[in-house]
Amino acid sequence: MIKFIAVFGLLVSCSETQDIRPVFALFHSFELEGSEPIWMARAKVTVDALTHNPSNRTASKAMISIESNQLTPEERRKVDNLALSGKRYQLKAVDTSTGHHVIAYTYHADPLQQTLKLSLDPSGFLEGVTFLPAGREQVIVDIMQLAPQPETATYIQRMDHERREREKTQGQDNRNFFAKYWMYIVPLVIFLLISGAGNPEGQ
Amino acid sequence: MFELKILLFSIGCLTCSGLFEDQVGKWDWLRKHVGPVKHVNFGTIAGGNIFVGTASNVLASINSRSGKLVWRKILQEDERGVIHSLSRRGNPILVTGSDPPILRSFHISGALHWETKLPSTPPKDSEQEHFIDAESMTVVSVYTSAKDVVVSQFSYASQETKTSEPISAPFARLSKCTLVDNSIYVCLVDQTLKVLALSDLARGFISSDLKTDASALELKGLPEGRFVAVRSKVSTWLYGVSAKGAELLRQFDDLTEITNFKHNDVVYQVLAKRSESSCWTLSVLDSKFSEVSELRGEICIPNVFSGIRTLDVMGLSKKDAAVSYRAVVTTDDAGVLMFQKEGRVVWSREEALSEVTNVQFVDLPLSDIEAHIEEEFTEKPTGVLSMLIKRIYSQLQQLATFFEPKNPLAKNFGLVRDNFGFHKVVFMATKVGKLFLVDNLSGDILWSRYLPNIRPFSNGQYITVTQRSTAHIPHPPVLSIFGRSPSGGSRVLALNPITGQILDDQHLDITITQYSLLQPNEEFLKGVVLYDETTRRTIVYPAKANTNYKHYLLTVGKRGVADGFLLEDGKIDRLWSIHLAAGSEVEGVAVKGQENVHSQGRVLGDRSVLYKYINPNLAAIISRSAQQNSVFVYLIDVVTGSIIYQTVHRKAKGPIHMVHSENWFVYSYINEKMRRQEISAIDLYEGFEQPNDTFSSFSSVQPQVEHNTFILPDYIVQLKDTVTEKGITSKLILAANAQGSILEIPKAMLDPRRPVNPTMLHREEGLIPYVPEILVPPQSILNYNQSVARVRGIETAPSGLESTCLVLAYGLDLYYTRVAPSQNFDILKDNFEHYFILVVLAALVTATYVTRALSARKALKAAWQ
Repeated sequence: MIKFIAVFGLLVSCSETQDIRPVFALFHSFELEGSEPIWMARAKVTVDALTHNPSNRTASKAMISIESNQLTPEERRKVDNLALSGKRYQLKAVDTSTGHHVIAYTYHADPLQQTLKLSLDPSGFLEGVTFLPAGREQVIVDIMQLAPQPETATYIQRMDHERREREKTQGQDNRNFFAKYWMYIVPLVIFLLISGAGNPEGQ
Repeated sequence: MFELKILLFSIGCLTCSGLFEDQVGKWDWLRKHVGPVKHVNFGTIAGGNIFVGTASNVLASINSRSGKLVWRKILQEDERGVIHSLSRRGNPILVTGSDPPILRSFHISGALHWETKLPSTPPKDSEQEHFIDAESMTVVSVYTSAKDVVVSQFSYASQETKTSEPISAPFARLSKCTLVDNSIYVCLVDQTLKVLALSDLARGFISSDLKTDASALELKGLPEGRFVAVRSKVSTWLYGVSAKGAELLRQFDDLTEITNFKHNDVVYQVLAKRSESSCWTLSVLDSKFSEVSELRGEICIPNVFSGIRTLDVMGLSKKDAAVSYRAVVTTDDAGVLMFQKEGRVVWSREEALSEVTNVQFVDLPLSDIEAHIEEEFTEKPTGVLSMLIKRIYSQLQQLATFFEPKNPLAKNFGLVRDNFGFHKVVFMATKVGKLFLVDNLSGDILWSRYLPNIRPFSNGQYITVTQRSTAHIPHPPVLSIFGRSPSGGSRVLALNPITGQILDDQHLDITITQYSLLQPNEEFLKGVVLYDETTRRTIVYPAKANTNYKHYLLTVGKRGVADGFLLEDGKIDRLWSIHLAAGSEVEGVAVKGQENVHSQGRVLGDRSVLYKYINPNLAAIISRSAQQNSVFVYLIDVVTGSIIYQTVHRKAKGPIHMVHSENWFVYSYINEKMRRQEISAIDLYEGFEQPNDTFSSFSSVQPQVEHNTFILPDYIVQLKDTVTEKGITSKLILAANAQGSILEIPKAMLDPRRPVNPTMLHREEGLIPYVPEILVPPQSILNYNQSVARVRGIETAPSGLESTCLVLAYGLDLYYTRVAPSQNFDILKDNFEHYFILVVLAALVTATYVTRALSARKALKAAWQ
């Protein structure tokens, strides 16, 4: 059994700084005993550091290390047979701090090569594990993000900015009331005069 | 300025619904209800309005001649609004709430006279009862604890409270006690009556032996005078009580109910005996306990109501000064009826409709002739000639009905589909176990049926399933309702929703928590897979249904564990398991309903297409942690168990309402920090690549998530989206607020892609610039001034026209209307001038002929010259 340690810097996001170092034990099963799966240790994932930048969510990072167990050729063959026989490969992840476990499954032909997504809640506890198509990383950590708030401040900024722009381009209109609206007032007055002149002895 | 104009224009365009004055009530109706009646007050004058206090915490005034609602006061829905007591005569005076109890007096017009807190503080762990004497304006409050009784008398005139010392009464809690004449407190303990006179509290309880060996006795304090009735299965004993103790007055056999009324200072006893299954004979005894023969009467409950629950009788004087009475009866199915002495029903009210739990729109069947034509297509071909004959025959029939004089009554009896699909019927199930079929155009009840042995499940709802629609003539439509059986397990009732005929009635020995529809069998009947989460058992109903199925199932435990199961041909297999955020409790799960999605993508400003992520297996779960003061939102693929998107709102709380449809999810919550209602929208997109034709959870890409939050300056109690026939029409989010208005919010306003800084491309696409607040103009209130009290749900259904969606909001009231989210693009306006266009056309045609003649003449003249 060979052990190796891989360290990845991954793009994740996180809403709070973490002091704890979550450790997740991964078990997999490719055989059933009756209807119950037989769990065997596959790997251990340790989240070493969760750095977090609240102003820029995408710049948050997690450092994780993976300690995985190598499969024997016999086990390897069983895993390969799974897909051929239409059975599913199951994975159980245990959060060592809470003892909660989550289960995922896949029918993929090569389940060991698939990327795993570990979903964590804002406190760093394990919520779920998902198989993703094989990618650059073996394990991705997805920490729950803060939902967007109503963008009141940005909106007010935009309105202020627009108002200033407008004032700059137009300048203040300092003409008096009559100078601004004479084109409406003059026809109205003429109309009134005409209609008044039309029936001088109306009563 | 330009942007602002765009904004105003787009808001104006999106929400230019509203209604003209002459359209009020044209296609909408409101039915106001008061709830199951608990207390009756006969008012100040005979024949005036009566007042009722109901189990729905409503005080209402009802016209005693017509049964119409005059006014109602809707009190708080929670503990504070519970009506403990209502005065029997005079102005309505009532005691509500218990911590502290509040005494209110209303004018007969519904105006509040005064209100005051009952000043006495109840002893710890005590149960309280309040008795009101309207004439002397005093309230007697009796607090019973495990050991003793405390009596407190409050007089409104002097604003003084006299509270007694605890009186030892270890029996009071466990036995039935009552107060008669606001002066004598009576308890029935085994075979002994214990009497406490409020005028002489120091003397304590006086026991009098009943001298009977009958068991299972019941005590009833009669509403007037110092009388109590003790009832066993066969006999009823009438006792007179006084400060000295109880005295047996009369014994009656085979009574179903005893009550009394006071008229001209004489107390008349009313004895009710069951004469037929739904009829009671009433005989009236005067003060000397001899029967008044002219007051004998019989009341019969119309067969739309079930058995009598309570009987209240009011005396009145006829024109010739003879004594008469009226009776108010409540039934087991929450009906309330007023009877005259002669037994005539003056009016009745169906208050079960105030507690609707499930609503389902049902299509009407085709008319006979149309059904005949349909049959031609479904039948196997039998030969060219016979088919031709059939064809000609049905067309002749069609022609005949066209010229047939229209029977005006046929409108009521002919429950057949109309051209536009606006006419449907609404099936409703209620908390009390009564089922209704209501016409959606008029609001009339077509049939009702009381089911004593079916009740809603623990979530307060039944499961209603359309197993076969009305489209499969000659097979009858089948609608099944599943509910809890009071004796344990579940009960299913399959019925024909149009006629109300019961097709099947079965007891199932599992407690159903989830269900799923199967593929229809050769008789077009869809089976239902029923699942019990606690015992993990599954059964198929009906047993003979198609049993080859493969269904994915999501169960969410209260403690935040969500599991995915595969149900395959009766076997249950757990596929995946996830654990929601630590310490959170599930608030709700939203899955998509059956609907058509017309457009697979959105065209952007640069003419590229952003494809929607339409995952039919997507479920939204919202959980809340009170400890962390946070609301967690998850989008989960039920097949693979993968968390597609997760997010958290800090300093947020419920009530949470959600709508999940197409490629979006909208939910509302309260922001505790800012103390306001917020509404959040999530849109999911696959990207710019055209996805494969059929969606598969196993091979789908991770969607792009767009999420944004808006402020809604209102308090939402219910959210729902509109549905249309083909899904082409844009969607409206209907939000019911606490005031009873239903707001229309276009989905385009709740678009997370609304840009804060709009560019030319955004304008090209037609996105509305981002404004944090969603303003709902008054003309976007769907129910204009017809407020719907305590909305508990909104049900929407497509009509036959793509533009229009039918809406029914239910709660204490029922409100039905129809809504056109993108305007009536496929229907003429209802003020369209048919005659005008005819006249114009006719004029044009005549003008053409006249001018032709004229021009011919002119041409002839020119030719001669």
